[in-house]
Amino acid sequence: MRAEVLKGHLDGLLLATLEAGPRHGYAVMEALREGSGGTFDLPTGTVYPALHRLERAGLVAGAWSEGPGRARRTYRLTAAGVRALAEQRATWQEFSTAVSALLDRGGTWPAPA
Amino acid sequence: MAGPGVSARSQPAGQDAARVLGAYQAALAAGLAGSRRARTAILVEIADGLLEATQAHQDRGLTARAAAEAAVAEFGDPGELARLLVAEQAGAAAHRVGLGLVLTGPVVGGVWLAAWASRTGLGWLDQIGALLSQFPVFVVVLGLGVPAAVLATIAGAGPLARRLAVPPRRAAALAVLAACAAVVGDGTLLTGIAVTGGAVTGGAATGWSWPLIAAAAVSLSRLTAAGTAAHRCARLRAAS
Repeated sequence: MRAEVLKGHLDGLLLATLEAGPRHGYAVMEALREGSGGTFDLPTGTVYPALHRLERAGLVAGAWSEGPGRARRTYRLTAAGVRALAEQRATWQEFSTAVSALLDRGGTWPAPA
Repeated sequence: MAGPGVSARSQPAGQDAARVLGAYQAALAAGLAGSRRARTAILVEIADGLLEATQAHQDRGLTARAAAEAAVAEFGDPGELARLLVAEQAGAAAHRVGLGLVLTGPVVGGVWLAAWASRTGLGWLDQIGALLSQFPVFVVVLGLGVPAAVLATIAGAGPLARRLAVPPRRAAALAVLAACAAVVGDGTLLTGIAVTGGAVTGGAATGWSWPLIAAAAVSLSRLTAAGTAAHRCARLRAAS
C-alpha cells in the first residue's frame, strides 16, 4: 500500500508500533509491515522522517544506545504520545464504525423517492 | 550520545555490499545541512537502518551485494530522504531559535532600560517611550520580531506544532525573520550608543558606565547568537 493512502493515519500507526516498548527505525518499519500482514509495506525512508516529526511534536523520544557493534537510535512513546495514540484510536473506531455501517449495507438502501 | 559512526564490525560481509551502502550514505550526506553533530546523528541512524535491512535481506537468502541493493531500494531516493530529514531539523531549529529569542528578549530589554533609567532618572515606562522616540526602528523590530519569535516557537516543535501543521520551512522562515529583527535591534542599540558616546534621550549624561557596558555586552552576545541562528535556519530552510 502506498504512503499516500496512509496519509493521516501514519502517525497513529507508528505510535501503535511503539506501544509495546522502544524500537529503532527499521524495527518500527518491520513491525508496521508484519503487524499489517504485509499490507503496509512503506518505503523505509519515509519512516525515519515521520519518527523525527513525532519527536519534534513531543510524542516520541529518541535516545542513543549500543546496537550490534554500532550506535543505534531507539524511540519510545512519551506521555503525550500515549495520550495521542488513545485519541487516534477513539477517532478511528468512530470513523471505521460509521464507514462500515454505510459500506456494509449492500443493497439494503431504501429506494430514492 | 551522538554515536561513534559505523564501525568495521558493523559492516556487512562483502566489499561490494559496503560500496553500495557507502554510495547511498554519501548521496544522503550530500543532501544534509545543519551542524556537523546533527548530520552525523542522521548518518549514523540511517547507517544502522541500512545494515539492519541488509541483514534482513541476507537472512531471506540474498547475497551480500543483492541484499545491500535491496536495502538501498527499500530506503528510497537518498536526496528525498535527506530533504525530508532536513525539514524536520529546520522545524526543530525554528523552535529553539524562537524560544531563545522569546526568553532573551525581556532580559536584553530589561538590562538596557535599567542601564538608561539609572542615568536619566526616568521611570521605566517613560524610558521605553524615550527609547522608541530615539530609535523609531524599534517599533518595526518589536512589531515583527516578537510575533515571529512566538510563532516560530509554537509552530517549530511541541504539541501545538502538530495541531497547527505549519510546514517546517515556514517555521524556519519565521525564525529567520525573528533572529534578523533581533540583530537589527541589538545592532541599532550598539551603534546608537557608540555614536552618541553613551548619551541617551531623556538625560544629559554621557560617557560609559558599568550598567551600560553590561547592556552592550549582553546585546553583543545576543546579536552574535541571533546572527548565527538566522544563518543556520536559512540554510536548513534552503536545503529542505
